[in-house]
Amino acid sequence: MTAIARLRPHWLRLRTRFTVFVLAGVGLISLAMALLTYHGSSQALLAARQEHLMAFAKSQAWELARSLGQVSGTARNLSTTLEVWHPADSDEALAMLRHQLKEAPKVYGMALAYAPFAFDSRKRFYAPYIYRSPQGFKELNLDSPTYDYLAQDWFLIPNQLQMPNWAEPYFDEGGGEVLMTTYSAPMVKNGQVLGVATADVDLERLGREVAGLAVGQRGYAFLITKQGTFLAAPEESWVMRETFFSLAEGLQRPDMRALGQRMVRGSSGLVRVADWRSGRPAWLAFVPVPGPGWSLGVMAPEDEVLAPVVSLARQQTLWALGGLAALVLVVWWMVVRLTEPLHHLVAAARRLAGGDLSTHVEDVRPGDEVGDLAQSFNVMVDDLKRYVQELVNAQIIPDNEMCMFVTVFYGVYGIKTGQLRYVSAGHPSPLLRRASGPVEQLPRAQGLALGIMDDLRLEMGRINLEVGDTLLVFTDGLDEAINQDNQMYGLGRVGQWLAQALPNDAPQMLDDLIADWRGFTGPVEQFDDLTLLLFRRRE
Amino acid sequence: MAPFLSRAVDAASAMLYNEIHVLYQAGIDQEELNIFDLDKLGFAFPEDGIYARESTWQDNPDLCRRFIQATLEGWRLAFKEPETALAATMKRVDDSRLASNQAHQRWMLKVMSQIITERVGLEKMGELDPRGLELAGQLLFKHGFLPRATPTGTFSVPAWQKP
Repeated sequence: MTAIARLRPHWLRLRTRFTVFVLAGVGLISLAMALLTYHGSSQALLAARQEHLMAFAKSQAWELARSLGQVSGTARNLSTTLEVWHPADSDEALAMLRHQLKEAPKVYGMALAYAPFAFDSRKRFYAPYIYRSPQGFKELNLDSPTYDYLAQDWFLIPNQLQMPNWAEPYFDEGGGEVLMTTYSAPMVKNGQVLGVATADVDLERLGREVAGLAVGQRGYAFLITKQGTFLAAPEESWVMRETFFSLAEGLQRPDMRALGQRMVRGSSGLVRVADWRSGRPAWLAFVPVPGPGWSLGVMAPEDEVLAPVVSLARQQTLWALGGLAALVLVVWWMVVRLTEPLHHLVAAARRLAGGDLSTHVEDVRPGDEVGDLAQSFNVMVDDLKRYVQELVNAQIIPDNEMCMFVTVFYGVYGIKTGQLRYVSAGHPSPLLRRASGPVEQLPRAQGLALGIMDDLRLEMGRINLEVGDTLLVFTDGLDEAINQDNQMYGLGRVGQWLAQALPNDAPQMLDDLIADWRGFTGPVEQFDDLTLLLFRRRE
Repeated sequence: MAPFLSRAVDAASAMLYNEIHVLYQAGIDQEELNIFDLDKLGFAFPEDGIYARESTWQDNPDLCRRFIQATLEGWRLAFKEPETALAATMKRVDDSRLASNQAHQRWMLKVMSQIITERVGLEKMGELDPRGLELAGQLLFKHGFLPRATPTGTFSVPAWQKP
């Protein structure tokens, strides 16, 4: 056993090995299963999140379209009305504008911009404009030569197209004095464009509306025109100045340019991009806004999109670790239970090897392999014991014609308990000197000497030794020795010597005893053998 | 370019250093356009000069010369330190709330630098191309936009030259 222990490091004991192997096996399988589950669930979650992002962008584009529809509808109503009804004078025209603006809270300002001489054949320019200012509605005539409304895109383009049009964002200097975009509906009569009716959208207000569409903590939404110009953006400075393509150019991102072309051409889609602000991966859903044909983009950082997936993974990992910890406990407990009898068995085997034939494995639970092994061990020890007894007795009996017999004193001392269990086959009882002084003879254990009877029955005695107690085991060669006067050395002398002996080392003490004994027997020849064993409990 | 981009007009004149790039920044690739390069078609008219009445030049030649020199020096500095020039330009873009951006201004400066220095280099920058002037004069005269052909030499003075 010690040889085996030397071969293997301590940690590789059975219970350690068993636990490590089970843990590694189960751990690997759990890990593989967790990875598969994570992959599957993360794909499903990601798909759901993407679908959600896309659906959100779509619904918001429709919401925006509805809101812008109020603006364009107002201008179209006005132009349609004015195609059939001509205001008598400027007051009537302004009253009309004021009324319309009041009814359309989303409209920032409205104008009626007439083609040269179309309102009044004596007037080249006529363009009444009314807009919301902090002080209430404000009225203007845009007829100043510096403003030159005939050259403004919002007049020129619908005039040329004879179709309504959303202007690119601009700062309306000399007009509404805000960043705006303008919807212009031409008034057409008999194939002639009389002018345009316009409705403005304040881009600061639109920007706030779009900013409210942001998803998550760091997500944002933006709106670009058909020419890629920002109407609403996460950076205020982009509005009107930058186009999606100018950003792509500045960042040297051809991928972004290609994406922008899809956006301005009315596509919708969901793509994974490097966010042009942070450079980090993000998901962009883009959809056209019905009506103006602008494109609404909703950007969500990938880590936010994946946040539920990550938290799922974290939870799964915690569960797996908790499960493994529980498994360690269960396996450890099981292995300890399984191997505990083996420890008893090992200890018993050691005792047996030391000659203790009384050894036994306690708590034997037969049924499993280890229990069977322990039981077999006990049976083996019993057999061995019987065999030894029978062997000695039986070897002597068959040819014991001389009627010689053998006495045996056999004791097993428990070092920890201090208990001495003993049998005596016709052997003189040993003498015990208590630490407190008195000398006594061990209680007699019944038993015949070997070589007398076939069937040997021995009674077991028990005695507890205290610290400092000294036991002297001897053969009758000691007490039955005689001197010249035929007197026996006797138990009394032995007891006397033991009571007075100095507590030296055992060999020293035995030398003393033998010297005393020799002094008593003198020249008389020794006729019997002499065996002595001195034993003292130290702790 | 908005009318062109809105398809309100089918054709528009565009400068290489400006409108061509505006189209690019609206997501239009060159392949999508039919470009008539007037330079290659033989209409390389000089443009963007600094003009003064003859009397102003005669009364204050030194002032005029210094004005021209300062203007050219400004261009040279802009080509030498494009980032400084860009920052100054963008500040004015912001102040005037113009619909322009840095990438566009960078393009403009780069192309202007090529156009201006291509023929004469930095040193002779400001010299009027006599052949270009002659071609423009002849064409304008031929098609009745000018009452007489403008003789070279009387039209411009070499104020760009350092005294």
